[in-house]
Amino acid sequence: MTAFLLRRLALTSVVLVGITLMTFLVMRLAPGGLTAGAGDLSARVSAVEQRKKFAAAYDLDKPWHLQYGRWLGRLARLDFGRSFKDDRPVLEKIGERLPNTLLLNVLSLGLVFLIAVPLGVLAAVKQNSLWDRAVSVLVFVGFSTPAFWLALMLMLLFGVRLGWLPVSGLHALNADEMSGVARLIDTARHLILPVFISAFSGLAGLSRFVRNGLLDVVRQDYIRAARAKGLPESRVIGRHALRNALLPVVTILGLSLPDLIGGGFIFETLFAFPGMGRLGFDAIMARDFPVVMGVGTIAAFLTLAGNFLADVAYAIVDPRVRLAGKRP
Amino acid sequence: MTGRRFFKNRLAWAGGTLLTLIALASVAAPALTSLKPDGQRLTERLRPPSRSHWLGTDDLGRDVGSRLLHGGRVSLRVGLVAVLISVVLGTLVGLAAGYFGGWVDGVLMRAVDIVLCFPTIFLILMVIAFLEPSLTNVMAVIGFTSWPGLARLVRGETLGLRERDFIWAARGLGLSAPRILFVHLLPHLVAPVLVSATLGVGGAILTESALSFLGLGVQPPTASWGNVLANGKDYLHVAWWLSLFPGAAILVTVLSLNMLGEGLRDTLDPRERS
Amino acid sequence: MSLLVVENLRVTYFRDGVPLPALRGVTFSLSAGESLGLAGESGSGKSTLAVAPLRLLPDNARLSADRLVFDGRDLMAASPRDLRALRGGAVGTVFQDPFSSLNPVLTVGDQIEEVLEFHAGGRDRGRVLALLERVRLSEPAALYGAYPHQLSGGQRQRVCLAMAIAARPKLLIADEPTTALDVTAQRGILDLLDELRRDLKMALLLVTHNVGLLVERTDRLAVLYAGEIVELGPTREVLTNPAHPYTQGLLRSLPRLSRVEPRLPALPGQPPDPRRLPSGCAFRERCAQAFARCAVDPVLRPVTGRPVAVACHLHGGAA
Repeated sequence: MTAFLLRRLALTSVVLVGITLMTFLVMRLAPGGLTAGAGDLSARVSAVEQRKKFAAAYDLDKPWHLQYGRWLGRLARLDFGRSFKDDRPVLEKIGERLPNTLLLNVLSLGLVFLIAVPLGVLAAVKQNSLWDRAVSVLVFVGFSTPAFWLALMLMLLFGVRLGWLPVSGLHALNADEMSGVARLIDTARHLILPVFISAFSGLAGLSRFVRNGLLDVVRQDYIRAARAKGLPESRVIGRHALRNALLPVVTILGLSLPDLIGGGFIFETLFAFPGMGRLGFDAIMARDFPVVMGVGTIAAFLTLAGNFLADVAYAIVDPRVRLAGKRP
Repeated sequence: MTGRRFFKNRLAWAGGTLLTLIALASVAAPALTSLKPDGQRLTERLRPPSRSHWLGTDDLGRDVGSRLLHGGRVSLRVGLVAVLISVVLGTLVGLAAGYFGGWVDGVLMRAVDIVLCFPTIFLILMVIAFLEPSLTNVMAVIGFTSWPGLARLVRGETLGLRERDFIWAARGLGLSAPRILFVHLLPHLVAPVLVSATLGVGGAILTESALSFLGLGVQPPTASWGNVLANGKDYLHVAWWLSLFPGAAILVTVLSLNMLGEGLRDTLDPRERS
Repeated sequence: MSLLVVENLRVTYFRDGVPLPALRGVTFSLSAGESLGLAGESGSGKSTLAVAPLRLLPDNARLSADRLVFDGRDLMAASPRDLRALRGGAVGTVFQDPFSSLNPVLTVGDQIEEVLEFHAGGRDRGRVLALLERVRLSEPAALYGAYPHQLSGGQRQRVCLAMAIAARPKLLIADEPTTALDVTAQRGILDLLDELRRDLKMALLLVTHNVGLLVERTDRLAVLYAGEIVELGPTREVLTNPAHPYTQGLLRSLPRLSRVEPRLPALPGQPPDPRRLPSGCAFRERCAQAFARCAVDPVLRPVTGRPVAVACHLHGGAA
């Protein structure tokens, strides 16, 4: 296991360095773009102002290896400079929003897991039955639905027509006045739609994955051998088959992190959810470059961390990796 | 034999038929409706679906149905071109990485890993924001951000194929690398790449509509499903048809593509037997 | 008293709607404590025959039989619960590939203990350790917590044997138990099988393509060809005096150290494609002694004056 993890760590480090390089390159090339799209004179003037600020902030006058060195140093301190919009430290702005996004993503992943796994198992165990076909349909529709449209439709239904759920923000306007429990419920109500939308296409993917994985496992010899031992089917599927089929799920969950974070850019905006995605989107629109860099880099780091954690989890859970090469 | 299985595969049939209908409808859009997609008739603003306007009108009195038909052309075009770009790039990179292995593989795959770490939407948003939002840019950006996934797929397949006897034989015969890659390996890649590409068109359409929805894609007055939907968002409370139909159009189109793609996969993958 | 009675067993697989007959009317019986070897090449149906009595066939298989009785119980009419009680209980099975027959994410000890849990009164580490010793594995305590991938092929097969005998079965079915092992391990497993059989007084159904393994280790021998038994009798008899042309060809083609030949005599042709079985005797097209009567499928019947049964028109009366 240690060998495996060390190797993954090495690869991860390389990618990490690569991310820093890529962001560095973008940073160097972008200033020209800062003026693009600026229509009128005032916009151009402010763009030039931005360039000046930007150049100062990122030491663009120094030789590039020095620049990169400083960039790495700043990255290590997570110092992304100050926002062009309100001059607050980027890190601070991200810090306010990140926990919300993380909350959204964790809940979303949890929901995906809780629903998709039983669905996938059901579809596999009752292969070709009505359930299986129903899950299939769900999968296809799930993959084909534009998330932002679904969000709109649900907002329309639950928010506007039925008025059951709030359609924006994380807290009601008078949240501060609420008691602890009421606040919790209020937050929960605000989270329902975003979490569900976020989970929707992930649901489709994972349930299909679990179904196919389980079908593959059930074809294996050790399942036949387990039946030959006279084990009841519940034991055969529940213990022998599932343990093997669910192993890769851990990795899949980790790998779906970039999509989750990415999706956040759109529906956090739709739901006016105070998260990092919305921050990033607004920053892009406002050409607030330091914030953009900050959000992008953090997002990439999170993805990397998620992937690495998935590897670690897999290494722990699969005895073939955990105990590779060890004789009893 | 493969052809026969294809015809037996209902999924592929259903998807293919649906897609063909949609494609035909889009291509024939000008012929199908006399109502111009840009024709504003301010007296007819925000009308619900009726006999004269099957899908209603938008805030400028334009016929939604006609806009959607024309929008279909845009979306399909974007999907096809974007996927073409990603297929070409992804296949080249994947082939090189898979066949040559060693440091070539290492470098290329690390590049892929790095790009894949950034949320795709984010990359696209950034690039579009810094360039002019336009149809061409959208196609290019989507294409350039989706090739890594395909590259990984192609690399995996190439790695598997590389060890097959016929490739050893080709090397033994002293055939040059490009020849082996393109004449011998490539044909075997057509199947998985085709599946991935079909599904990719669906993905590209979803992305394009998301971009247009955010105002960063196809710009009005040109109709795109995404920007009609963006319109709809502003009038959500009063004109449900403006939000429902564009989204439904996207859904049905992407669905047909997914069905076709999965059907193709079932046909072409020998392991898929129940 | 017969422990296992099989009469006219037929098994057909269906792939994409096309029927593939694997067993076309197999009849034999096995007495308590007796060992029967089933020899056949790939495609003869021998692996199907190993799993058919316990109804362990895949979903796309159809089974029918005039009689299928184990220890007095009618297996055709048995409920799933009864079958499960038999499997791993009164009937143990060992499969060909010990690596793929063991669940990679559960420990070896755990997997053996499961058999005890359901067939022998409950989980008991001590009994598992005793079983591991019984199959001549050293360091049972260490192996108890080990995972399959940490063991060698021979060790794994011994573990599978331990699982199969854990509930002291009356019958052990071994489907090519040594094929996936190297030669040294093979010998060990076969010797172990002999020993266990004697100690536990089990009947043994040993399926293999390697006739040589069956010498000295089985009481009776059945030769399987294209889904039918073509010859059945005491092992010694069949091997020294094969009646069926297929058996004759099979034995002739075995390399022998005592005989030096420039070329191994081989049977011409290939076993028939189950999708396109010839009418009449399935061996007809490859048989040097085929004649007109062979157009009718022969039935397995005793050869006069010998304790052997054969399905061939060269012997015995009308079909």
